[in-house]
Amino acid sequence: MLDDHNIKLDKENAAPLGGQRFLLVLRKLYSRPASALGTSIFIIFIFLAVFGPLVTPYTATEQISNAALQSPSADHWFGTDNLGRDVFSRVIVGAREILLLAGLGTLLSVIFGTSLGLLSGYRGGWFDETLMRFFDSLLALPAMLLALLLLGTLGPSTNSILIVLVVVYTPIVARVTRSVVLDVKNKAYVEAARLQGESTSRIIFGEILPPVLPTLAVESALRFSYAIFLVAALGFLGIGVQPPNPNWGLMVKETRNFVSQSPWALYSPVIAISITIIGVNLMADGLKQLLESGDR
Amino acid sequence: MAAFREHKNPILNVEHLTAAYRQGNDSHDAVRDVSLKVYPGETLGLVGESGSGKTTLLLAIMRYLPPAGFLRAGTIELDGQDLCSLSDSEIRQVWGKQIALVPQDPQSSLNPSMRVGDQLTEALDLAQTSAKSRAIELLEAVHIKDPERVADSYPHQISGGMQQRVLIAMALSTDPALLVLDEPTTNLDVTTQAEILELIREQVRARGTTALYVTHNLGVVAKLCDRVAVMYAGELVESADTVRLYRTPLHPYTQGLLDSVPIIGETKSSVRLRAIQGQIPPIDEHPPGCIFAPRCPIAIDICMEQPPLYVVDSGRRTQCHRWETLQTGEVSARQMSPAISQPAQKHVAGAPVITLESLKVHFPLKRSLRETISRSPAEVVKAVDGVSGEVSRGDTLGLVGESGSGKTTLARAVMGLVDTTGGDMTLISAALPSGLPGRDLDTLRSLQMVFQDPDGALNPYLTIGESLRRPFISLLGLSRFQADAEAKKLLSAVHLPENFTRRLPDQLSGGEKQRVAIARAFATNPDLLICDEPVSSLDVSVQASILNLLNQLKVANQSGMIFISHDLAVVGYLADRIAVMYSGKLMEVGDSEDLFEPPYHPYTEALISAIPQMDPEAEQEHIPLGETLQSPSTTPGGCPFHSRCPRFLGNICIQVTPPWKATSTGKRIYCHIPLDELGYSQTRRLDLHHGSQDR
Repeated sequence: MLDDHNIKLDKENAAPLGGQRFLLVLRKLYSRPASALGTSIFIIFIFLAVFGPLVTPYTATEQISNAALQSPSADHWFGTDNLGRDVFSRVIVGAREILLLAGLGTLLSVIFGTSLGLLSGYRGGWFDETLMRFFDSLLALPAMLLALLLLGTLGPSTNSILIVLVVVYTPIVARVTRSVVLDVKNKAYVEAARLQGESTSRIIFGEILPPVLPTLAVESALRFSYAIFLVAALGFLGIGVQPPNPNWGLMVKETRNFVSQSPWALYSPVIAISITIIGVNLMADGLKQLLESGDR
Repeated sequence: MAAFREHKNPILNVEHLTAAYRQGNDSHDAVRDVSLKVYPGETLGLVGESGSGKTTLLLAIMRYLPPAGFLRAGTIELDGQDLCSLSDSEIRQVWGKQIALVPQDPQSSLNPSMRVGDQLTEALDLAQTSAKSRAIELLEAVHIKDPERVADSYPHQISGGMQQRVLIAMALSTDPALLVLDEPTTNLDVTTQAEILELIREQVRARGTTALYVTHNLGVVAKLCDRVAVMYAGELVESADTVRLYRTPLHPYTQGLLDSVPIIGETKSSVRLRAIQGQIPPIDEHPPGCIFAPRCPIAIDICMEQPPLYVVDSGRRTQCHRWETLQTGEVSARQMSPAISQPAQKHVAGAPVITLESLKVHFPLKRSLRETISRSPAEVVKAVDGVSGEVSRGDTLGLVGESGSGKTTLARAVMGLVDTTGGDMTLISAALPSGLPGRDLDTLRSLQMVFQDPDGALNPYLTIGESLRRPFISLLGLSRFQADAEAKKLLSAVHLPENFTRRLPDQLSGGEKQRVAIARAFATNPDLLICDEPVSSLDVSVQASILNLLNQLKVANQSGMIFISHDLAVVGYLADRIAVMYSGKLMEVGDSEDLFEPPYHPYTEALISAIPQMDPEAEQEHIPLGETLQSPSTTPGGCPFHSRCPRFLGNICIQVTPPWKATSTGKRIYCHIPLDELGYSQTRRLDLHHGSQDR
């Protein structure tokens, strides 16, 4: 209908490449208030995770024997917990713990999910059918139930949590990837590549993967926020990482009995969880809008 | 026509209308200072290419601009009523009752969950029983054969042509003051288009409806419209009554448009098809002076100043400084614009590049569970059913037919994108295996394809350079560095600047994308190139240059070419030989010079008669074909065309497979009717009705 309303990109400029394209995306994200906020939160937390432990006044497990359940003060910004540990330091160090674990889990599931989704969508046939039915059966179980089952079998450890994240999120990423692949694989440019005698791997990674990437970026950001949530939840249930690790979920579990005496020891990690997840979600939302408006 | 003007007030009076779109904090004018009047009982054609602002103007007139659009200046009066001052709820009262729209895409314009009859009368506010009979009346008026059944059908149960009939009935049901038709036949087959145009013409004349017809197709305008307004880049550059506009266009853009469309019967050896150089300026760029000057072959110094709308006489306006010299014929954009292709020598065909021997492609239909268990044989769609033929080196075979006739499937079978069911293919001298996996790299190199949709043919995430380098690397084994140099050479071969290698397809226009796709297809010097409707999604001014480019590269490479199109005029222009396909079978094969000379197959005859001619004075008789192409799965024995054939003989056509007959000029026709008889009756029809086709 609106063929007349054909607004051209800057025609004189060459296509932005690599790092230039990354900066472009970043600038676009900062053009909307909501996604700017989300992106800022995300960047701040990444910054804290990388450099935070270098600047915290105490270590995460250091007990100040005479200072249990203290209110916030100049010495202890967020107060201390029931064992006399500095809550501020624990939240900062906890950021590294949780972002690293959730990030690694997301990365692995995105790698596995994308590969399987690409292969399954492009090959089709019995391979696709079998894999998707298997993934359907995994998706039929609630994530938490699946996590409990796995951790019950594997025993609680950091590696087990990584496995849980991969098992829970790989099917979702694979399904999203596959749905884009099904759309892309019948495009004329894929047929043109086949007519040029390109190998299957070259077609999958050279022709089909690039159009999948934007969707994948949004999906990864969303998976990341769910992964943070899941890691924290498992910590809270006591079957994830074990004390004295400063996992935010674990911190909530340990301090909730003392909420009447020192609420900040409870609320600090809770707020940290909320802010991180809201931030990542806002950023994912911004990425999605960027994608839908047709800009890359 | 002048008679309307002297006595009556215009139904639609648009003055100095400027419509713009907001974009961020900016806004860009998509329609600038347009004035037009539509008088009672006349049909005004609004012509322009994509980007000309015709759709925006239409929406602005209807007060139906999208949220980003707004009116910056001007007035719109409908039947004396000022539309600009109406509130949103008041304008809703105008829609449907005073302005009715027949939209471009019938499928998405009908509610899929409502029966046709109910939708028809929804706006009329009638009681249940009278609504039903009114719906049937309305359907009868648009010549739908069994209106009861159609009224009770859902939109997806009726054909596209039928859907468009329903929409026309719906638009006319309220007896609107102004009927707006927005490219109503663009998505339809040429045979269906002819029927819909016939219907529109008849309805508009019979009811004395005032109509505004928006289209890019100049043939349609010639057939339907009393007056024509030509739009370019948001400005109305010329308006005149149809006959005078076609005879002596007074704006170089109009001249260019008329010259860039091939007329039926013209071939590349008889006429040079001219393209308009350059492209329409984007909405946010407004060059100073005449908007067309950068592309105009006769632009002079004065053209750097904005031309006023010159009044030639009472019915003619043109926005060209040099209209007087155009009128006297002192200058003409036609002589000045460079002819891109030289008239070709009558070529001598070389050895065959591809030979097909009773090629068959059948697709099994999905079987129900019961059928699968009972192992009943699967029903098949015979998309290609026994096609034989050959294409020689340096030769272009045009393949025409309605949609669903199997042209694309045939092309894909040759390319190896679908597997064949039977028959043999020979490439040069070796057997060509069915399907891609059995073909070696050299076979792939010698077969290439240009796709219909330039947007889909290039990966939007890869730069042009990346797309163009691939065939050199994968098929010819060049290094990346060598491939890069070759890619740049290719770009200049298709008249594009070398720095395009760094751009993404998004940054190219449709015509430029198609040039890149053509460049890629020619990269490996193919022996056979298949073009599947390469120009059908392009504007006419671009179409001509693409056709010329294809021909030029084909000649330079000495490749064979199969050119698929539904547009007989385009095929007739470009091809050396033409095959007409219907329901998976060839109906007629012959040299393109002979195609438009009787005798021809009755199907070809109907196809030719369906093309709207570029001459408003031509009396053209249209041979109706009835229902659209039936599903090839139910193709009966005998001649596949018998159920729609206007020259149907009787049982012989149903039961006996027709023979191939050759005419004296070497044209072969698949029909029972003796050729001299066929030729005699077709020549008579031509003599009776053929108008002049001179330029």
